Amino acid sequence: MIGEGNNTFLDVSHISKTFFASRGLFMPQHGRIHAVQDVTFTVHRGETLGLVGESGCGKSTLARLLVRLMEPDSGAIMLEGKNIYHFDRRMMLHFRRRVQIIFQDPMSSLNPRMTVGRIIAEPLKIHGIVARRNVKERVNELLHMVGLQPDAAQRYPHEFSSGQRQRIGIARALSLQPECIIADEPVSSLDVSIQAQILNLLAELQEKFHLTYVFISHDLSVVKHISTRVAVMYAGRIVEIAPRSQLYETPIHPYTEALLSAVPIPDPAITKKRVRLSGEPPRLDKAMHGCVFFHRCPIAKETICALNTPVLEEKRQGHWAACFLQPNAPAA
Amino acid sequence: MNACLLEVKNLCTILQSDSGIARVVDNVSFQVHSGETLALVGESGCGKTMTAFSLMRLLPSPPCIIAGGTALLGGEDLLTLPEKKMRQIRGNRIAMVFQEPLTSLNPVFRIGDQIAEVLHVHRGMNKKDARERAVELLRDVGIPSPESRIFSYPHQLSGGMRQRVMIAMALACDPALLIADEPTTALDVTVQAQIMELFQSLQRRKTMGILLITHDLGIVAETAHTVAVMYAGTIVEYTDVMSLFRRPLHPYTQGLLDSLPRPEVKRLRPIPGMVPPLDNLPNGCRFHTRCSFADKRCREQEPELLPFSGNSAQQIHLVRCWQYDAHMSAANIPVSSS
Repeated sequence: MIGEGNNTFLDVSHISKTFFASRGLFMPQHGRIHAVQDVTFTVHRGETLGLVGESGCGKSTLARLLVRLMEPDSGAIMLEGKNIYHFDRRMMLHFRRRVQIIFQDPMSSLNPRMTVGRIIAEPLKIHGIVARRNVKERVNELLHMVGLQPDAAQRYPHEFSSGQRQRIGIARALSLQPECIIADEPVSSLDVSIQAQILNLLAELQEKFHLTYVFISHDLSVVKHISTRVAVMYAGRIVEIAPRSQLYETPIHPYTEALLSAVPIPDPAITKKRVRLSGEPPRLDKAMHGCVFFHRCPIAKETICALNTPVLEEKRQGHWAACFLQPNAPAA
Repeated sequence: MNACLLEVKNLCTILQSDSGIARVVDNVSFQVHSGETLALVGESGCGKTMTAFSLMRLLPSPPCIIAGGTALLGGEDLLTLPEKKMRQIRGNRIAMVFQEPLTSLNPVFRIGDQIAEVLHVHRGMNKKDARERAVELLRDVGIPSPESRIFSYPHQLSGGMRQRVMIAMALACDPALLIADEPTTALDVTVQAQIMELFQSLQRRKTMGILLITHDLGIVAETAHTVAVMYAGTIVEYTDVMSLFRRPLHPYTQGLLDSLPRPEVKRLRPIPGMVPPLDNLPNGCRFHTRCSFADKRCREQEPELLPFSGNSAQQIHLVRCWQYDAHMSAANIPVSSS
């Protein structure tokens, strides 16, 4: 297992999820979409694990699997030695208190017919962790924590800007005092100045409450800013996982390298060499043989990469990559 | 500097609604030179897209009214041309690429036919020639096996491929000016890199002027020559790309750059507050409610966009801020042509 130790919070092993999609109204055949395939990693206590990848790579499916909004086809997620997919209703309720999720689009995750106060109070009431007469006080406290005025409690989600709505989503997630928050593209729909406000808020809350984050984003510079470790996903698989600076400075997987070089740098004086990737990510509805990146990989060898699927290996200390061609070398 | 292709002066567009009148584009002036890229940068709602749509005269009126200004393209004022003439210019001398290609391509026609239509309308080509040219154009923008791809429908293509089709269509008549409105925002970063490279190589080959509308400062740094930063309907800073990143003058530009995520700092310095609603702008400088340098004058009087003379004399660097009042050169030219 990757990075096994006492500080492991969630231990995800060999998790896979396949969707069945019908191909239109009058066509009974079903297509399979392999959204997440054989994903293994651990989430350490107190860290921010960044999860990056391009659209359709399975990031959001993985987020939903992590909080059991979906059941996987196979695999397990262990929390303190117990598989969360075997939890019964009561244990699940307890799990929800410990692990919360925030979504990209707060407008579709906040009930438009409930006031913000009710939205934030609902988890408190369901879990009964605050006495009824203290709920209001707690809601105000939460609003203050995320930088909203107390009068926000009486208003409805549509009265707020998207940045403020994201703050409401964060307040709701915090209401149960979780240990871990899964954040699925929490700043992607925000303008850069508002994005900075929310990133600062998340960092501040993490320090205050010793939170563990799994931060999912397609934006490599946001992930670089906030994460302590980063995992790169491609076509339903994690292809590389490493501490932040190692991943960004000395990437091992050819996909990571290409992805990093594609990010435009906000400095006109820097002209960088781009690793050009031809083509697009593979369709996940076909059975694949060999490495998922084979068709676009600049260094692929037909005799090796087309035949077998590489698994994550520890190429350097704490730095795992799924590539046959990169050698297992000790840290330089 | 290359020849000036498009000169926009004091463009004003207003939007009428039940809640009042909003000046969505307020006194906007800029120039696009052939072979160069001018980037209009700003956050959502700052008037970038409204500026582009005003130039193309694509805004529905009412509620939108172009209230003033000129936009000269080869001696003709785009803002006052009769609609019939404007139609000959759109897609021909000026082409536009939009953010979401799926909504701007017609879902019920094959992509080859959609490109051929442009050639048929503007160039009077017959069906066979237009189809051949469509294949060439698709090859130019890097679509593999274009001979068979022309028979595809938009939904059969990926997002990156659709954007390439849009670009092929925009380039069909060799436009002098290309307006690209957030052309890569809906695309993944590796595909974005491909599309931006494509723009740059096409620009080099065809000496086309590009008006690039974006919120991404990374893309600005890599592709623009000149940058206009917009805030709440106005241009607040206008300069070459190097000066903008090396010596940003306006507090808003500085705030944008400070908001960019960086691993080396623990906390970012975001701009406090939010963009004011355009139908209820504060008095004085529009940015003063969020600006840490604001004083009495900023709250009362609106600054003008003036050349900053602290920079080397060759570069134009315009800024709309009272802070630099003492450094302003005497010549009060809104956009100096050089």
